[in-house]
Amino acid sequence: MLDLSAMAGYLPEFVEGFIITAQVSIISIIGSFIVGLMVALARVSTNKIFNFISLIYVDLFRNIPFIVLIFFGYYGLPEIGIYINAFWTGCLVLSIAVGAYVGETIRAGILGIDKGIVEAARSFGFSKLKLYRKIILPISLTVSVRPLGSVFINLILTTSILSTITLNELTGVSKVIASNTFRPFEVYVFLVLLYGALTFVISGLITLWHKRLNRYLEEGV
Amino acid sequence: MIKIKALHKNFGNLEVLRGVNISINHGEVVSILGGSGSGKSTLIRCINGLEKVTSGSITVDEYDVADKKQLLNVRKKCSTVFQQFDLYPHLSVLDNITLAPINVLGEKKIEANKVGLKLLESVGILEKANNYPAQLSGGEKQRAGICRALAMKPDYLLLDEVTSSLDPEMTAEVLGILKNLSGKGITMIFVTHEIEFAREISNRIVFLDEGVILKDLSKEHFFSAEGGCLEPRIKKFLSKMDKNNG
Amino acid sequence: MGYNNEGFSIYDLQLLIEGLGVSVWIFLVSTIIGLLLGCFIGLVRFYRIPILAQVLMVLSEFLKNSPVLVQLFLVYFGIPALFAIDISPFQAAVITLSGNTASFVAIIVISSIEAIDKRQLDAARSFAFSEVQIMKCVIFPQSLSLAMPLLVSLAINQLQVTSLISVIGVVDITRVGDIINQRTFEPFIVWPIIGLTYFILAKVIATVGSLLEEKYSAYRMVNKL
Ligand SMILES: Nc1ncnc2c1ncn2[C@@H]1O[C@H](COP(=O)(O)OP(=O)(O)OP(=O)(O)O)[C@@H](O)[C@H]1O
Ligand SMILES: [Mg+2]
Repeated sequence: MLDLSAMAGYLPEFVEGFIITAQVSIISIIGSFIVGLMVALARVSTNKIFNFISLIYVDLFRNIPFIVLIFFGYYGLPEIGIYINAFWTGCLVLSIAVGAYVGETIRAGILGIDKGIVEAARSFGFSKLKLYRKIILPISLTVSVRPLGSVFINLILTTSILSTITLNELTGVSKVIASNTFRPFEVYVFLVLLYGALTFVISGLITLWHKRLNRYLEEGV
Repeated sequence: MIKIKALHKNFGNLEVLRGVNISINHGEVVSILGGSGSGKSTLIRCINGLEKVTSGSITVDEYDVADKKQLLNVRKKCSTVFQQFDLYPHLSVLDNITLAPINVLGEKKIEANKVGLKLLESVGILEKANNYPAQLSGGEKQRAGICRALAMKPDYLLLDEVTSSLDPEMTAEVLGILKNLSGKGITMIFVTHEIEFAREISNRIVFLDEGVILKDLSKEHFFSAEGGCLEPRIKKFLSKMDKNNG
Repeated sequence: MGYNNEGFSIYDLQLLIEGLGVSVWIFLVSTIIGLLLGCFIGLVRFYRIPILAQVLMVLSEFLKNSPVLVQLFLVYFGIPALFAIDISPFQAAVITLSGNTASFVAIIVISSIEAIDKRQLDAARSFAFSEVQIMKCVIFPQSLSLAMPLLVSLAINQLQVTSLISVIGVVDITRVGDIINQRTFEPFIVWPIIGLTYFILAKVIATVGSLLEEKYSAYRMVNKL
């Protein structure tokens, strides 16, 4: 029957795994955001070459499973002389792969902007760079908080796959604990609940943040 | 015959119908008038069982609306035409009309199509038979809605403000069709704000006010000086309607 | 072993094709089961069947909000340990992926039913249709049309998710890639080929999907007046 006591002794390991998951997640969220921002700008730019490259980028990375990408990175990077550990390989590949999703989300936000606002800003003599920095990006990021949030929640769930390249994040340590305690059911149920609680809390916070940032949109309704 | 006895209908604490008694005989054309929120739509929806009555009874011929099995028979006898048309958007006009005859009455598709096309011809939109509702104008949609109701060969036709989402020109089209129907022995109960039209085609006027029937008179009587017109509430209502209609 | 590059052989191609077959087969089986199960969950929740609706909702929330890899471990390692039964990697893969797909399908089912104008349902009721007939003749065709684009992108996503079953030892294309990579040490040849295979499969699903979308949405594509 269910027996949780065996797991209790492994709390420090769980915490360690959790910290690694959190670190990878935070670094990759930042990394994928930067990648995504560039992808989005390239996608909406008037430069044909940028358009084409970013389109291919998005199409490729959204249609190839993450585990294939991570194996490619893990075994491939040393071949070309880049020696980084599993942790940084994970951060790198996550940033590149999730960047494609982030890019599409930000792009949708940019395309959704009222053309009138852009025209108005142009008529005030905004330069293109200023137009993006002061008007287009702030607006599109504000309306994209929630969709970006679900992309990042997905990223957090995806970090579990880094256990396959020997990273002892939450899922990795759980595998060890499951085989040490001979209690895989309890360990993995606990893990499902933990990830579930984590995403629940984060998506709740994101919703609140989204509402706060977008409250001026609701006023007219 | 439709018999409604001591009908009460509440939505939560809101008493919408407060003791409605009425019987409607075969072949009658009854207009139901009344201010906004007086409970007209609710009354119609109670008759075809779309709303559950709070107390009282409704029978249509030998069938009791409150009985789940008999309700299906009631619904086969009464067809409804809706204010917002409520056609099925995924079906062609002809399929909209034949869906119930085929699935509910068990008619053969060929037969049902024949009847449907004839009905469409009679309302002047035969050429729209294979179009989707989204491709029709409001007036055409409502004509299709009337065909859909008639395809069930109903004994009773319930019409709830069937022209109030239409512009005047389309309203005239639809009213013309209803007028043609009114002579054919089909029992019609319609809620309307078109006073002139009610005067023209109905033989009985029921005035509903805050969930009770204020007047239930023959048309001649209702519009005569000593009939309903002088009742202050009705007078107010009628004058308002006249203003609205032009 | 493994330090000398043994090179590719014709058997690698055979292995790849077998792996492809396994991936496609598991994808199809789990998608079909997931669709049926998801429709069931969706309907139970739409008709608000007491207790069952709540239980299924909580369950599918956890399936949606935890890593599929962990779910796979739970089914493959956890369930046999608790109930003392045998589950093969293949069975574990089908059970997990079906359940995961179902929890997403359920959401799509509910939202595409709820997107339908309720007045039409009243109209159908007033014409003496039974609730089952209304589901079949009025709700289902329209919901299918609304759901189709969502189901197609779900399918493309679930194809990628199948790659995780390699971790519990199912020899799918990803596992084949891993095997060949371990032997040949040619990651720059192996993984692009595996990646491209998934890419092409995704495009096949997208193409079939857009044909289906067109087929079921004719009525929404007409020129509105
Ligand atoms: N489903 C419902 N739930 C709660 N209240 C309702 C519901 N349907 C109707 N009502 C209320 O019942 C009252 C009567 O509504 P009903 O639609 O029958 O009026 P009506 O006479 O048809 O008015 P109108 O001329 O505007 O169509 C209104 O106050 C309305 O708000
Ligand atoms: Mg009304």
